[in-house]
Amino acid sequence: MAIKFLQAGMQTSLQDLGRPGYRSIGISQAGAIDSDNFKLANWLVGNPVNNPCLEIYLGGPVLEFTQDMVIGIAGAKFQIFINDKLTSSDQTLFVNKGDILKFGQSVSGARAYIAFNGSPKDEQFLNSYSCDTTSQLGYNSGKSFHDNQILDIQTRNHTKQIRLLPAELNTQYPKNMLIRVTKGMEFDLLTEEAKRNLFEQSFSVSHNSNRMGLRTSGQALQVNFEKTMISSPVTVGTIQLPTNGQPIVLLNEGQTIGGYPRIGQVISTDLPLLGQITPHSKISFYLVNIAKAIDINHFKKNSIANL
Amino acid sequence: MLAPKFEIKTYSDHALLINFHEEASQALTHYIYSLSQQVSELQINGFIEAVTAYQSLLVIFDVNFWHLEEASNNLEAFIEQFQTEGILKPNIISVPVCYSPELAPDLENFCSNKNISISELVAKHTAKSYRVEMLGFLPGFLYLSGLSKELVMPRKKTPNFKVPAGSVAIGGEQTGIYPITSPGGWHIIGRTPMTFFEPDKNPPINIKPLDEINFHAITEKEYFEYGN
Repeated sequence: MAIKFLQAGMQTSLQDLGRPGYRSIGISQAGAIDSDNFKLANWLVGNPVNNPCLEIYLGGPVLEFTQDMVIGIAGAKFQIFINDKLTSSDQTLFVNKGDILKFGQSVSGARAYIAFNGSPKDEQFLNSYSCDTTSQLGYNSGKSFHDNQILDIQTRNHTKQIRLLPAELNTQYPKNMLIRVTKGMEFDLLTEEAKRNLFEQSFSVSHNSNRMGLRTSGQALQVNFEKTMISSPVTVGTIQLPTNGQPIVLLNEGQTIGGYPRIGQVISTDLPLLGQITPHSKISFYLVNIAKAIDINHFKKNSIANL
Repeated sequence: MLAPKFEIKTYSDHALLINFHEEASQALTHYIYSLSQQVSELQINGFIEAVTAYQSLLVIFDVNFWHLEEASNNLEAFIEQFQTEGILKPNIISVPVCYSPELAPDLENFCSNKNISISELVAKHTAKSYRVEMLGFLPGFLYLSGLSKELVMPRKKTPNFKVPAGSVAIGGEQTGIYPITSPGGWHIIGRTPMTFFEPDKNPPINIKPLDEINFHAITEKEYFEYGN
């Protein structure tokens, strides 16, 4: 059985939780950028937590199901239609053979995840299905789905249980996203004025942002630094400051080594939120220390452990 | 090599960065690479991966399963007693490069900036043997040390949108090879027809830190006929 892409949407790709463990040969983890909602979509279907999902970005696809299936949608809020009937996406959905799922306008957020009760028939690359669109690796050689493409799926049995998205996890995403960060390795290279500007202004998010990183712009930040930096490791959530003074927040397909000052680091808890930031919206950074960042994560871990 | 002077810094809420305060050298690269292999065997709670770099090693953990002090103390105790003997025998890889303006868009600019002819550049670039210091940035991108001081050139202010796979480039004091087509801010001085990164193989690349790269010049004809 299969899902047929009548229209592929703006950037629809297959993702799981990525391929950690290969940064030392330059391969970044890729995978679902909003991993929280990725897991939630799988939960709606009763799937294993790392079952691959479709990640849709800004403009959703039109899908046809060739067999009865169970799906779950979580993340950015879109109007969704099943056979042209407006449907709520906050719960487990049962679709029938021949049904057509259509995404309308995006209401808030940038990325949604569609989980389904099965696994792709294709092989994994380095233990992951994730499509790495930047390095052209993984599912579909790193290419997003195209119109009329077919995703062949090996379905598995499913329960008839209907799960509802817990209200407190049903997030509306603001147009100015507040992201908590710890100091980066080269934070102290920023001038005093730049240190203030990093946290006191909102940065605009460029339309050139992608799965590799969010490019932002605001009042340029200056560093007290003359020579070029030696290339050094970076990770998902590292905020780099290129010579133009406009920060770049690295995402799941970001490079593994970089040559620009690392001025900040997004805390683990807020990494998934980065996936919901739309081009032309704003991002503000809020400074916390490492101990606080770890505390915040423990709180989050405990609050979703009941799912 | 005995443990060089080092310092463990908290990189993020789930990673530690070990900085080594020691001049870059073959022995240090060997030390860091060997250490990275050993760190994965330590079974520190939440360990995910260790990433080698120039004079540093980044150790990444799972935020839900690690404990900062425990990880930091474990690493510190381990490094203090960790030493390497001799040097791994490097693989020596001979890499054909076509230094032609047709394949290397920055070659002429680079040479006129340096006030040298293309053949002088080729002579200088091929005269030395380069050590793989680390892989990264892109899948299989090789960072090579050993560039002649006369060829040092700061990275471009504005990176190129598309650098073709196989491009051989200079960025600051480093020279490197772009394994896949990608954006890039280094000066492209040549292109190799050799393939370094093969996604359908596991591992997709067989080159590791400490390996040695020797460039030799080939003509455009040889470039296009390579592998036939």
